[in-house]
Amino acid sequence: MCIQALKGKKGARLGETIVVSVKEALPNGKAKKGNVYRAVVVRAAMQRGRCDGSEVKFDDNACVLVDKQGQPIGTRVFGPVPHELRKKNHVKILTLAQHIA
Amino acid sequence: MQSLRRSVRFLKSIGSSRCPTAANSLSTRDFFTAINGSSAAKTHVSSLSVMRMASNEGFPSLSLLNQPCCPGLLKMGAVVPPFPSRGMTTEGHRVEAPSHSSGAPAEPPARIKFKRLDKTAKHIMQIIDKEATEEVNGQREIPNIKPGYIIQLKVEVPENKRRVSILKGIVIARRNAGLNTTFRLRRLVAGVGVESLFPLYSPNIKEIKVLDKKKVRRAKLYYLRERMNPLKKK
Repeated sequence: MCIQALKGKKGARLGETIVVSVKEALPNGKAKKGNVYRAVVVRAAMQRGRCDGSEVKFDDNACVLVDKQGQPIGTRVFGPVPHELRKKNHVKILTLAQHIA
Repeated sequence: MQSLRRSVRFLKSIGSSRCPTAANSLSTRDFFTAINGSSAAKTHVSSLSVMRMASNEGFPSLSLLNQPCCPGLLKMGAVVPPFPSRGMTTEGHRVEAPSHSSGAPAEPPARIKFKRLDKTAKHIMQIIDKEATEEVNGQREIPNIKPGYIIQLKVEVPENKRRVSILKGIVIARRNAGLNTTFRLRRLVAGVGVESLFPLYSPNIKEIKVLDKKKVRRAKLYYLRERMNPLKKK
């Protein structure tokens, strides 16, 4: 669950980092329930405009847990991720992703 | 019907004798209107027959000449034998077809919807828009995309990537705005539904290919968001 957006008062958009608290966790995973982590938003139901005039919108909201340096905690990323992450320099997430939307 | 004609001729002869000044301006039609003014019961029928009589004119204008020329004529009109009333129903049906043909000029068969702009600036912008779209259409071949089409796109993404993406999805909406005509594409990517909006005339779209056409009865298929949603919680 999102606690706060790290940069900006108005909330985070696609590709930005947020502070989250874990509500549900698999029993033997790296993230424990109740901990506070940072995460990167990879899918948002709000459309995000691209520089060529196109927009992209996903059906759900999803994020990837990262540590303070920006490296993902987990080893796999499910679902598509947008191109916006490349600009934000989240290369590791992009390489782990199944599909780049 | 013939009785009416006879009565008309009778009245015309009287009218021409009685009011010579008005006779040149009036025609047979006007006598009918005078009669119409007197007898409301026969108005419906007489009006149709009037239209038939006035086939030489563009369209009948029964609103003109409400006042009769000669008050004496009115009495004559009232005394007209009730023959026309007997043949009222059949007459009405018979005259219907010719009245359509002799009426106003028919509408153009193909109705193209367009706005007539009053302000000059808007008009200029419309011209510029049309020119720009024609130019792009001349350069690239852009097929006509309607909602319900299944489309395959070859897009070049400017985010530091060469031309990679081949997107395949269904068009759910199309918004016409001249050069900024956009369409929405919905596709399922790795288990998640993704919707993207593309400008139709964008230079980043290298190729559009129509794969299939689905029959839809709507211009915007937003209901597919609920139907085609793999992540929906049941």
